[in-house]
Amino acid sequence: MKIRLGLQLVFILVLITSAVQSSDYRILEDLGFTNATSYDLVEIEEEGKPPVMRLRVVNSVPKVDPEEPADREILEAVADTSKQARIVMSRQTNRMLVSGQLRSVLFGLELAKAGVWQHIDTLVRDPSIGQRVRMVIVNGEASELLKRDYKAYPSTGLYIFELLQKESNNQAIPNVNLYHFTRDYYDDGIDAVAPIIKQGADSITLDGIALFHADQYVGRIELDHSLIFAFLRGNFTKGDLGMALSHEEHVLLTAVSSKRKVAVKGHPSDRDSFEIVFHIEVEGSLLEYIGHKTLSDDKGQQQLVREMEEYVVGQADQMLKTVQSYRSDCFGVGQYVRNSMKAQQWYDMDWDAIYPNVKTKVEVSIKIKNYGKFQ
Amino acid sequence: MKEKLNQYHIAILIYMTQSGIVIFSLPRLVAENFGTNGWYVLVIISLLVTCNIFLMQLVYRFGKGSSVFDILEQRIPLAVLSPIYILLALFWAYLGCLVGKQYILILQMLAFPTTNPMVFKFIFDFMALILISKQIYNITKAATVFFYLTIWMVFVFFFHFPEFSWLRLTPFIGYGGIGGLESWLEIYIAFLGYEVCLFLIPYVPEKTKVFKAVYIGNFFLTFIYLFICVIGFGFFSFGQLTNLVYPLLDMLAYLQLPFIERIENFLFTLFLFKVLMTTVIYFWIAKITLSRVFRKVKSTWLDLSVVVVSYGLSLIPQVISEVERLLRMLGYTQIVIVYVFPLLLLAVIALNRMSNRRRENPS
Repeated sequence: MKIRLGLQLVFILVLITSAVQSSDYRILEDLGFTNATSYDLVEIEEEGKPPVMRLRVVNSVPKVDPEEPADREILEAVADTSKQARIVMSRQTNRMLVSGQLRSVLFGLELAKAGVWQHIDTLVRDPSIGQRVRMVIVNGEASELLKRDYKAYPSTGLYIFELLQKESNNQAIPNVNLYHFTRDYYDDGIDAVAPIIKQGADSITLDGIALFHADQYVGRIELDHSLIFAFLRGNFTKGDLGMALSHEEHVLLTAVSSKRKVAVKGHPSDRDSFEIVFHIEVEGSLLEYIGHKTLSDDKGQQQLVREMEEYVVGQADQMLKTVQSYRSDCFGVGQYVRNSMKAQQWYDMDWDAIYPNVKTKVEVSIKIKNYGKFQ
Repeated sequence: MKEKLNQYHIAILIYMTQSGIVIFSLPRLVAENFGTNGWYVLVIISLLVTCNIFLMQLVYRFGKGSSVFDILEQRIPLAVLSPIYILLALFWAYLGCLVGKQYILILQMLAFPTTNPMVFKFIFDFMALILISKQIYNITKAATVFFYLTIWMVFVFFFHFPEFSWLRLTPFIGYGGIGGLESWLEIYIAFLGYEVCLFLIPYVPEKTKVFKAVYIGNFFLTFIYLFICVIGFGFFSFGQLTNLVYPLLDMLAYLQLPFIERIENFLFTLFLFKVLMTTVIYFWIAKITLSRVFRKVKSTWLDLSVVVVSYGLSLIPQVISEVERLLRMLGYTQIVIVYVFPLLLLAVIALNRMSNRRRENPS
């Protein structure tokens, strides 16, 4: 009995001393929760020395206190690495900077061209940073975009996050967070992608889809073709597809869902027979049609579906040629080629060199679920 | 009346002892050591474990349900056994203790980067002490409660299905892995813990089919390991998987519920129960081994000495990589023990039988 009582006393004593001594306590009011970070490459010139490239980091840290004049704090630093920049930024603020609430990271275009991996590496290494942090490329200077306030919108960090979240839900841009980027970066059969945003007059607008080869930005897809991009990249259940079949004929499909199948024919060693076939099944509701066909009869409907299929095939063919010319395997063709052969063959093959010249073919079948409530 | 263990409790106890902190790195270990689709080795190792359990079952059958210590002491004098017992007890206590230390060092990395980990270790060991001061029946009851506190976490992995792709598993088997003896041993360590069944024998009523429960516990563990590894291989790309120190932690970190975010910290804390159970069982084995040497010492003092000595020893490795290396070394040794020990027991039983027969038929 005595032993047990003694032990209990020791236990309580240790608990108290550890609670008093712990340096890992956090007080909410003293913390600065960074919700967006931007990275840019800048050229720094010092007298008598050749110019060096360094990293400009901007953190947007919201304030919760209603009595504060500004709704967020903007911290900026130029350093060699992002964690060094954090130390410099910490000197400018009365709050303790933490990254547990980080929602989006922005990379300037110049930095993206030079390669983003070493900056993402530190983000995925840090256990306090979540996997779902959204990643976006800024057409221009990321720091300028993040530093500005946009009057009609919520605080810039939140604004960017919500914009990306909403638009990726309907396939206007791919849904890309740190997990997706890291996963595709390390996969030898696919290249990563990311959305692009830019600064408008009074707002931030989506600007396109960035294509990567390894960790370097190599090219872009315009937003007008984002749904075709989504068809080729995988399956999805929600999107809107507008098509200009000719000058006088326009169609809009809503609630579009799509399934993709990829077949590999032949072997890469035989150039003539080697071919990648994308088969895409699309379903949607037709809610807008401007043209001369009568949608109430079967013939008109079939004709329209055929024309839409031709349109999508044409666009998809064009897009495949574009991404091949950028050497970006953003649709993961390599994954299918890899899985069609023996391990040794795949690892002996230089897929990066073969990919730009691979023959591709797209087959599309469109099903229109309904034509709305008007004949 | 002395309470006895039943099958259901034993199966859960075996599973809880086997599964521990290794599960956090298991998908990577399998990928690193056995390459693409390396998860298949889990099935092979599970079969090896089944064979090993069968050896132990033979000990149970031929030993007619007597305790392993009784069997040994029939043949070998206690004076010879005592130092071996003490060494083994120390070894098992240290093994259990380091499992706890590894958990706490990961916890430190996640949530308390500057707090002294030994403070948490103290609290952890204190909980272990409270548990081992009870009878095995009560420990098992605690294991059952802990099991239900943690097992529902299997369902959170269904949240990963939208990102899961069979494409990433590739059709290649074992490409990019090492696959040497050390690789096999490293994965085998993840299955250790089932050897507790040897020490449970005297606490089980004759009618209970104790080993059926042990097999079930081991198969359940294999199923959980396979499930997590296959999801890991399809959720992460192969290159990414080999770079993640604790893939399971990253998988938990990907979860997001509409009302709460970053729940991995909460889920990781729940794993405390699993790790605690592994530690407690090794402490318990150490304690009953010591009790054969120090028969007159009060059991509370034995409990205390097991915990205090191993706590002291666990101060030596300071960083997580040292703890992991030490654990690997201890794990390899334990693998040898789990094969040699039942073989030794069987040999002793055979010798006893022969001499008994000779006594019965002197001619």
